Amino acid sequence: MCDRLPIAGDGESLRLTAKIVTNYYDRYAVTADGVSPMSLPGTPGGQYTADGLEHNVRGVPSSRATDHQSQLDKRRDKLLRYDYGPIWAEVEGDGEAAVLTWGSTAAPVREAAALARAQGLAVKVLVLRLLLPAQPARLARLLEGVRRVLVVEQSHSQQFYSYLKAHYTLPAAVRVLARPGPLSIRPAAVLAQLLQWR
Amino acid sequence: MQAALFRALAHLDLPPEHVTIISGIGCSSRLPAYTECYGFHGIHGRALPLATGLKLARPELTVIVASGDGDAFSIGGNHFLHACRRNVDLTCIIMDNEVYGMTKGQPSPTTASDWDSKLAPSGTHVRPLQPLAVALAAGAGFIARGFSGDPNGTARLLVEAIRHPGFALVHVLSPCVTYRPEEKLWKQQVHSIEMEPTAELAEAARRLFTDDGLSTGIFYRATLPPYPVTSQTRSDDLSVIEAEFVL
Ligand SMILES: Cc1ncc(C[n+]2csc(CCOP(=O)(O)OP(=O)(O)O)c2C)c(N)n1
Repeated sequence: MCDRLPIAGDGESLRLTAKIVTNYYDRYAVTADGVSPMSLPGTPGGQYTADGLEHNVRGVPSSRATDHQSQLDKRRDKLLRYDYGPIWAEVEGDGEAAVLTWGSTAAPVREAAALARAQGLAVKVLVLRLLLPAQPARLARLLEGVRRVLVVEQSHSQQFYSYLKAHYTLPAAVRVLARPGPLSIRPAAVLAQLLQWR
Repeated sequence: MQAALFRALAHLDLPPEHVTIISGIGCSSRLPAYTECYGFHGIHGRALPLATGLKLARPELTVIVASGDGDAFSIGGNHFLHACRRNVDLTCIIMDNEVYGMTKGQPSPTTASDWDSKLAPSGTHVRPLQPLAVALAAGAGFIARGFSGDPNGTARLLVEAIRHPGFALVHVLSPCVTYRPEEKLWKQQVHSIEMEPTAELAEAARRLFTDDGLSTGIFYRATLPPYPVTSQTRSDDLSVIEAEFVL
C-alpha cells in the first residue's frame, strides 16, 4: 500500500506518504507503530475525510465501541512507541543537587546553576521539553545519584510540580520555587535557594 | 445539497481526487464525509482559513467549503469577511437554516428577531444579518443563492461558482425540518430572481436590499483579480511539501 520509511527517532518527524496501488485506502489503518501513511489530495483512490468525529480505519464516522477503542489505542501507541530521542529533555552539569524546570524558566535556572558552580556547588539542570507522553524511565536514569531536587516554575498553583508527582518518582528531598507572573523568576532567586540548601 | 453538489461535479467532469471539501462544525459541515472526494471536517468556524491554505499550497485542486449560518456568520464571521475580500479561488457553500441545528435549536445570526423558541423566548430582538449584502460590501466577486429543495437549480449555480475565478459564495436556503419545521414552506415560497447577473455594485446592492431573502439566482458576478498564487508545489511527497513551508 505504501512506501514505509524507516522509523524515525531522535526527534525526527515521520511522514509516510501513501502510494495507492489498489483503489482501496484505509487512512487510519492500525499499524505496529501507530503511524499510518497519508495520501495527498490529487492522488486517485486515496480519498478520505479527515474527521474530528470518531471514525473507523477508512475515516468514516463511526459510533461503534470497537472503532472507538482501536482508534484511541492507535493514537496512544503512535505517541508511546515513538522514540523522541535525547531532545525530550535538556541536561546540563552533574551533581547531587538538581534543578527541574521547563519552558521560560530554563534560562534563569541555567544562569543560576552557572553562578552556583562558580561558588563550588555542583548542580545538574534538567529542562523538560516533552511533557507528554511522560518518560519515567529516562528521568529515573537522569536522576541517578541526585539527592535533592529543586523544582522551579512560573506558576502560582505549582502545576509543574503536580504534573511531576503524577508521572514521575522524585527523590525524597524536593523543594519547589513556584511564583506566578508577571514578575519573572530571576537567577538570583534560584541561586539563593540552591546555596541555602547545601 | 448533496445531490446538487454531485450533479455539479459530474457536470464539470471533475475527478473526485481533484476535489477537496473543507468544512467546520454543524450538521451542514458533515457534508465532506458523505462524498468520495478528499475531505476535512475541521473545527467550528475555521473552514475558510483552512481552505485558503490548501488552495494556496495546491492551486491545481478544486477547493470547496461547506458551512452553515452559525459556522460561517457567528464564530467564523471574521474569516468570512476576509475570505470575501481576499478573493482566493474557492467555492463557499453556506447552508442556511436560520438556526444552530447540531446543538439543538439556538438562534443564529440569520434568525428572524421575533422567532420564538424555548431557548430564546419571544425572540432575540436582534435584526438578522444579511449575508449576501455583507459579502458584497466585503468584496466578494460572485454572490448567489440557491435552495436545497431545488437540486438542479442549485447544481447550476454551483457549476458557475466553481468556474468563477476567485471567491464564490453560494448561499443555500436549507430547511431544518427538526428545529424549524415551518421552513418546509420555503418549498412554496422560494422564487427565481429572474434577472441576469449584474457586475454593477450599486445594482447588486439594490437587488440585495430589495430582496425578500427567498429569491434564488446569481445576484452579482464581477471579474476581480484573484489572490495571486505563488506556491509552485507539484510534489506528491509529504516531506517535500512540508519542507517548503518550514520557516
Ligand atoms: C469552538 C466551538 N464552539 C461551539 C461549538 C458548538 N457548536 C457545534 S455546531 C454549532 C452551530 C452550528 O450551526 P450551523 O453552522 O448553522 O450548522 P447546522 O448544524 O445548523 O447545519 C455550535 C455552536 C463547537 N463545536 N465548537
